[in-house]
Amino acid sequence: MFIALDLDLLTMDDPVSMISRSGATGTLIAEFRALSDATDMGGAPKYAPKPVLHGLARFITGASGGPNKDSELFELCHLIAILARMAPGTDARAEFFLGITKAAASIFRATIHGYGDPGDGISVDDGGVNATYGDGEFGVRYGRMPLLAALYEFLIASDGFENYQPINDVFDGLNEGAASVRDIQDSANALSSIVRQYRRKHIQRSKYDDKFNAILTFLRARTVDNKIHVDDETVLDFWVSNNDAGDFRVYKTVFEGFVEFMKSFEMGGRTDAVERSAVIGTDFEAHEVEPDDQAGDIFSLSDWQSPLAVLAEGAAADIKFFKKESEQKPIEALMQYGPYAERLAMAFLRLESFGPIQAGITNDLQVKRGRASIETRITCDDAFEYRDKVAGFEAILDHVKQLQKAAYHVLTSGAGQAGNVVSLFGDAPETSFEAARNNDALAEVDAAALAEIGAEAEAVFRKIVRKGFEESVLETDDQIEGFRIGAGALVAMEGLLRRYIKTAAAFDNAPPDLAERFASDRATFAARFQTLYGDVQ
Amino acid sequence: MTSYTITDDKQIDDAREIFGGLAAMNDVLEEATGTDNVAAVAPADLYAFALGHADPAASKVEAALKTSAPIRAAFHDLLSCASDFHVPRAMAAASDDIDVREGADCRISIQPSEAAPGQVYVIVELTQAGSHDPKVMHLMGAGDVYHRTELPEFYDGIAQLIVEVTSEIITLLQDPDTEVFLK
Repeated sequence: MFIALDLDLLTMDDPVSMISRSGATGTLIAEFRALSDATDMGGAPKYAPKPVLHGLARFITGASGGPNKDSELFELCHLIAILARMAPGTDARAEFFLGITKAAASIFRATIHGYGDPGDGISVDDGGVNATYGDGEFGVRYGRMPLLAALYEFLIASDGFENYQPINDVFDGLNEGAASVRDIQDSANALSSIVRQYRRKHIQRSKYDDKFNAILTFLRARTVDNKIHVDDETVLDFWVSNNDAGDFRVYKTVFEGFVEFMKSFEMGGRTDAVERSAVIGTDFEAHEVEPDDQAGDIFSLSDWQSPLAVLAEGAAADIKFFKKESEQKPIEALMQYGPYAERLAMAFLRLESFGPIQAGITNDLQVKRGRASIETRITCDDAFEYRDKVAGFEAILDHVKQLQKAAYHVLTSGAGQAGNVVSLFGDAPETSFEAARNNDALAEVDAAALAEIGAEAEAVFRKIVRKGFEESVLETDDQIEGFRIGAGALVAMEGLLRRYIKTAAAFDNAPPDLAERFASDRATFAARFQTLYGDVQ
Repeated sequence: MTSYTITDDKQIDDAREIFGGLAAMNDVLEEATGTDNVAAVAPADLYAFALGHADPAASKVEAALKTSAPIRAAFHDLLSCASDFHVPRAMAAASDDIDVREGADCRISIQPSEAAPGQVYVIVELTQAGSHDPKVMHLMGAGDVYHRTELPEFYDGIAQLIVEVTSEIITLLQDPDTEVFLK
């Protein structure tokens, strides 16, 4: 039966695992979900999806790879040692991590400032809290604390709270006022051991290894030297030729598999440059690694964050930059895959056009809609033509430019001018904005154009009639902050859209053009869908 | 086209490990938003329940306390740290039911109601002047037995409840194996 092919049920003991479709057990999913569903006292999510829950998922699965994948444990142990020296009360740790307020940097900053005199060996500033030990020092930034709180919760609840006591014992060991960096390293390593066992138990690595090996073997078979090459046609060929219909029957799965494959080689390349060590710490002579040494670099390279996710959080979430169906949905996937959509531009266009067709077929099968619907979909007659998709991106790019102008107006008017604009655009906001707008060098924008830019931006702002674009926002710090955050995301969106459209235009300007490519691909996808679903009832 | 030069097996192994992590991460993020899985009990839910806060997860927590020994143990630890008063297990099992339980700075007694046969008073006394008035009483019995009840206002350090003599709270208070936490 078709469904059985797609649901790769695990056979582990816990009953919850039986409903997991991935290589992660149901226990892991349920324990992660406990945090993703958590709310503050107002009913809003306690933890932000990004970067907090995203970062937690990355930690749990060891996705950063290399020697630093448990570096958050080192930070968490430092924070707990700091709290032991600062925070009053027998349940100070629980109150700090398990409170019912939103897990936000500003909340943790206020809490720590509220502890009063930090005492010897602790210093508090606007960026974070720093501890000096007998054998070293370490700082934890407020911005990291939401992730560390989520990690704390996840750890003590892991395996149905089976790990609560051993983990709590490790943390209690840090309650000694004279904890040294060495103590903290030892504690972090003790936690690492528990986490390693958890990962082994709840993540079916062989499933993912098989996927990786399938892609690698396919790529190696297409090359004669020690290089492997990934391009648009590779992705399509892999999907069409793959006989293992289970994991790779869905084109989207194949596309994402290649994206992860590329990321893994690029991240692996970065970690290669660093001495490997099983121990987290700051003894550089012993090649121990500090949390901030590598993780940031690795993820700034490969961990693209969708600008739409940025717009959905914090102060920016209260501003309706995009209408969900007509302006956001058409670019969600492009924003999600970001630089990888650019590098696999045709493969991505195929995903955009034929992915919804295959999703529709899968849905038909799940709800038993009947053969007629499936057979209609298999023809791909309803697929979006490539030129239409690109035209849709162009229309949204125009909207993004309008939004940038509106944001510029907010950030250069009234209260917005007081400070927020500087942090977004630097010392010369107008020239940076204009340069971004025209892709010009900063020096090319002369002062005479600034008045014109300001007037244009103001006119655009006044023309937009939607939530968050009222005149009153110019006097509201929160909403100005929302525009400051939004402006950064809009600049990133504009860049990505521009580059993608340019690449698509290059395809269209050389034979076969986009229309011919679409016709050819439609035949390919229809044939493959016929093979996969032609006989399925 | 993107090309990668394969240098050695270690490079492949590293990439394979990262690939597995990334793919698992995506699975976790995707499945956690799906409808197939229910959320487990979060520590913050346990803590809110211990503090007596209104929490949408309260019924889930209460059920978990009766079915999961590790969750009970964690809850006990949180209560031990957070509660204002603690009545430990009684030293020895008496032949008769226990009607008075004592802890540091507090005393809980059971007295019959003359007006309503079949009902009794549970009187909670704070013996330390200036103590913070607790709002909730947790009774942790032997095995998987647990009961929570909200306390009425304290006057001059005393709060009293009137309950059925056959109620769970009386059964638990009279059981020497029951620990009581006031928060």
